Amino acid sequence: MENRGEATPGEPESATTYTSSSATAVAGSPDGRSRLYPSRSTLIGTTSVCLFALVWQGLASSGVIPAVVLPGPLDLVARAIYLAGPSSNPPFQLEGDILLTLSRLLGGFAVAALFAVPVGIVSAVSRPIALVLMPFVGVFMAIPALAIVPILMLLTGIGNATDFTVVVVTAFIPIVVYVYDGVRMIDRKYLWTSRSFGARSGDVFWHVIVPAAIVPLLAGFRMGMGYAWRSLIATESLTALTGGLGYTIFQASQFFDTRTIYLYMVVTAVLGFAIESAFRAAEIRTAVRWGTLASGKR
Amino acid sequence: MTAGTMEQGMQRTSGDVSSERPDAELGAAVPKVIEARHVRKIFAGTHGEPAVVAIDDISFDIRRREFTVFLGPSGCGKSTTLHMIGGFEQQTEGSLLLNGQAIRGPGPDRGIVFQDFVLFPWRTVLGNIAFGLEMMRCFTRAEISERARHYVEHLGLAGFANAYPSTLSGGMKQRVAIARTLAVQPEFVLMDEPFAALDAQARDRLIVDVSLIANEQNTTFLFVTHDIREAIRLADRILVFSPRPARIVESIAVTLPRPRDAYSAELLDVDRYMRSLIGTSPED
Repeated sequence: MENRGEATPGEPESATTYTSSSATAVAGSPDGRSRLYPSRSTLIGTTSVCLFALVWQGLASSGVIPAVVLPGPLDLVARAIYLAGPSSNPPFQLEGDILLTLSRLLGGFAVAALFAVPVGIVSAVSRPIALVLMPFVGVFMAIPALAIVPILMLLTGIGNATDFTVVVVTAFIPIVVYVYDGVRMIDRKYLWTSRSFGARSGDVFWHVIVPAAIVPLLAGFRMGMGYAWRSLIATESLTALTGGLGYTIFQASQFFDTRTIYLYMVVTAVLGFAIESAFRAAEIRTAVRWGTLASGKR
Repeated sequence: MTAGTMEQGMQRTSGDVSSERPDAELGAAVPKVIEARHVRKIFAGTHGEPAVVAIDDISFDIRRREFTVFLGPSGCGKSTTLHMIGGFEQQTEGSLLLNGQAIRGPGPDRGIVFQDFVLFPWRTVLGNIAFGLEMMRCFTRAEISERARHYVEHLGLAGFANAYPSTLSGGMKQRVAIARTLAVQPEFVLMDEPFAALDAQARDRLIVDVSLIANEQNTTFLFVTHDIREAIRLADRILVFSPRPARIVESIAVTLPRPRDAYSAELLDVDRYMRSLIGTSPED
């Protein structure tokens, strides 16, 4: 149905037939965005998740598996209401933990992106800078974030700064790598063309390089976010007393409070899914809409 | 083939085509806007490969409003010559003057159209055409929109203003690229094999449209192609390039009015002469 290929032989091109062919072009254009993501796929996804929850609840209610090993979804809901409510034990505050973890994640990620994107672009454009910077990227890629946590704790004390720094460091590397590769893949004729229109460096950056490299850029963001998210949960469990999802999972495990552990796992998964959806939405609004990336309908 | 049989639509000059030549139509009064003198281009070898002499020694003049075609076999250095005039590459030796000045990088006085269009896929047709106008920073949004829409109409793109390039055929894409270049009213329009990727019908229509545009615009066109028929249908003057390393082997002035009927007797004469000169069979 979509007419996004190369020249179709025999396609009308004379001025007199433009109006007739314009109708098909508009119908096939990605402006009808809803069709890129048919609601049917959302429906199927929702149904499968609901079915999963139903089977899970059935298994938990049947008593085959002890409740301490596998609490049901309803138990988790009850636990969530309790932990989010006023009567909950101070260190276990669901909404507080979510807020803490998200603020570390998003804040650290923003800082990482702010520096990583220019570093990636500059390295891609300038060979001397790449020669200096890229070895460090390779070295830091190999170091697990958790290895630097003790050093950060010595450096910044037990507190937000350690969690925050771990996010910055772990998100930074993949973004640089993806942006560096993505910008080098840009056809140099885009740059020639923009310069032949007298575009300044800032214009080239915003109007050409960023949109031309949007797919690898978003891929780098996703990878960076994924690494940062996992490292943050792990770091929070190490930097005790600072709160957050990882901290509470660790604390709950000390008391074999499996309901809280399961609940926090579900919360972590849902938040991760929401972040991934945001990147997916950004992709749909850009490259998929432009027709440079397949919609990847499931 | 002698000049006697060819007097109808063309004149030829061999050898050093930069010297004074019998240009009946343009005459010496028309100023030279591009002067190339003994230009040589060597691409340094990377990763141990030997250096390549792309252009041996070329000299030519281009006069204002002249439609010049660089004709030659693929890989002969004619595109490199165009890229040097565009300011994207620099000659290794010799001098290349644009309005008496050495060329320093690309500029908005020289618009370029590539074989593979190089449209910005993230901008609509209108957005692509407006790009150069936005970069000039001297128009309001309304003025930009108005001028861009004028070129949408002018290139026969009405109804496609809000379409993204990915939804267009090759011929339409090239129309957008030409409109984008013309919109900033450059002094020179450089076209690098612009129709080589198009199907026959789209190419034919674009040759006619570019002919009409060349007639009405106060613009100097430089057009690279390996297609003899394209060259003779468009050119005021054809510079014939040898295979690499490039030299200019012939300069042929074509004085027939544009747009030219590809199958007119005069044009077929020129075609036959060109083929005898270059030594290709019909439809290379």
